[in-house]
Amino acid sequence: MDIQQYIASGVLEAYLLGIASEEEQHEVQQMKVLYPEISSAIDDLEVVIESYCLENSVPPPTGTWELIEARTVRRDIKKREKSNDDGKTAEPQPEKPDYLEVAFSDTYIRVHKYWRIAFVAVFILSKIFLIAGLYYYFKADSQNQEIERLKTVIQQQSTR
Amino acid sequence: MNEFDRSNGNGALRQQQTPVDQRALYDRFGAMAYGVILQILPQTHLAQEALLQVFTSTQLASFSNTTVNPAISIIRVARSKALELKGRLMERDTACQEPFSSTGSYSPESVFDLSFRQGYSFEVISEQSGLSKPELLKAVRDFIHVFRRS
Repeated sequence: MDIQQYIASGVLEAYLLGIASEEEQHEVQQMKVLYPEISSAIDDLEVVIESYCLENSVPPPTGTWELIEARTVRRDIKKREKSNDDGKTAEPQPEKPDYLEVAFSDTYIRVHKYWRIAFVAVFILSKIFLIAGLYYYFKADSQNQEIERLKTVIQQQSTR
Repeated sequence: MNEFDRSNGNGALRQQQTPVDQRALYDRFGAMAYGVILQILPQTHLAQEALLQVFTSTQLASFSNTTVNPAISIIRVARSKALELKGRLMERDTACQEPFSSTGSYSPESVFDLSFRQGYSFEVISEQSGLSKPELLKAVRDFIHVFRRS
């Protein structure tokens, strides 16, 4: 087979763009392994096609990444639920270690939902104590003022 | 170990890298994929849906572990997702299912447009245009190489 003719046929471009038939795709994959010229031509074409597509880039609408993230999380949860359901019916799995090393770069923490009630209770109690404290402070202050006033009245009466 | 860790099971270790890779791929190739999709599907809301499908595709997770050029893989996935959505849209509108209209002359760009952007197979284009498959492949090559030279 004439390698240069094969490279010039356009089948490599079609293969990279995903428009080649399955048969042609298998053929190119085999040729790529067999002939370094074809492998190098594919590498060159990858750069050209990438440049063509990069030149026609359009920034995606804002918020697209957040939607992708949300959809990925939803898919993972579904997958996990499904695997849990399968696990219930399947044979018992070998024992797993008690901990997993998970690289976590999140700034959020997760706490048990009962902590919400505790936080609300602490918040309400702090407000009650604050109001009570202010009430007794002003009450004591006014009592002190009354005592001072009475003392001056008594002193005035005793000097007469 | 808390409930969150427990619920992750053994898959957590495998899955922990996916969002990072996914984000890196999106940052690097998101605009490129959206550009490819818009060439096929000009409706922006549908194009965004196709983009979401590209970056949530299970095919994408395997790219970081293979020797396949990620840009090429993303171009292929973006094209197939856009054509899939376009196909669904055209199923509803049966009038659009007719083959493309023949104008008589086929430039490399029109062949590229029919095959890559509109998703017609080379067999269909060949039937409609009267050009042989090698000629169509050559036209695609010429289109790519015109871009290379410019």
